Amino acid sequence: MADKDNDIVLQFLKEQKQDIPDNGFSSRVMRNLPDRKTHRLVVLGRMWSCVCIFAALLFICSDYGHTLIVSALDNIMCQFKITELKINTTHLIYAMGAAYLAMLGGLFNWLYTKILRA
Amino acid sequence: MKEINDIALVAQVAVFHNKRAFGQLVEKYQSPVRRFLLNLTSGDVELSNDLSQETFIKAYSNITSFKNLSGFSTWLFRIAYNVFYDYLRSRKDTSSLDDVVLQPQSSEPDAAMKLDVHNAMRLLTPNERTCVSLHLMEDLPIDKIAQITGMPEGTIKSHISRGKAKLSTYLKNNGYGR
Repeated sequence: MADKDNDIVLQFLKEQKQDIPDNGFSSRVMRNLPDRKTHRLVVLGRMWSCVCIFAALLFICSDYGHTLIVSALDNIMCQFKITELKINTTHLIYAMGAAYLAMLGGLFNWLYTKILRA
Repeated sequence: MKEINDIALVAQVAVFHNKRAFGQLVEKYQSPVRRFLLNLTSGDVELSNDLSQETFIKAYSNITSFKNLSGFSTWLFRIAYNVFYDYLRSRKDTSSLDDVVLQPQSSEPDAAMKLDVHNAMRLLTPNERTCVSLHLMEDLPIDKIAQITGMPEGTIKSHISRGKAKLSTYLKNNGYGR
């Protein structure tokens, strides 16, 4: 009985199995294929953004980073009186560099999502 | 020979970005992939075509991750299976995937009345449908289905057995095979 049921199902599925004609499906797929070079650039961009964000975080967490950022913000709040800053110029440049890297990271992330959603 | 030819085409796509080689793979596998997704979506032609297209695009984008451990067709079916389950998850995040029922949107007016495979497949859960489609329609062995779905072989056998029982009852109730 079970064998007969099995045969009925197999026969039915065999009858129903048919090849689906292409009807332009393949060419539609080929038209929509992404450019793999662009894809690679997007991946590289994402990796670069990670490096930038990591570098920025590393700097912020370092001995000078946090103090520098706070003092820089304090000074900015004091009507940009740059001449009164009591911080090492080199460290200020590092802080700005870190901020710049973080911004680059953000920019790459934004571009990445824009390209992927497009 | 079939697999060697596939590997040669995949190598051309991966190394030389040869789109024509990928076109040959699409032409070769469009029918089984679309048929598999058509079964999973209970005969929704438009949806299955969209999911099939997504499958091939994902295959193209990730072709360098193909390691030839199980053959190109198995890898492709695995992508199709993941694409389908991602679609189900996007439709219904909270409930069990087996509870999701797909409403077919066939363009044929009498499609609901016809004793066809999609009407029968609608009685099965998505997991049963997947296992029955791959085993009984695409003629894949249980171990390949395990690679595609990530389910244990025993679970796959249970799904196939339950699926067959449901299909058999449906067919007998509709006078098939008398």
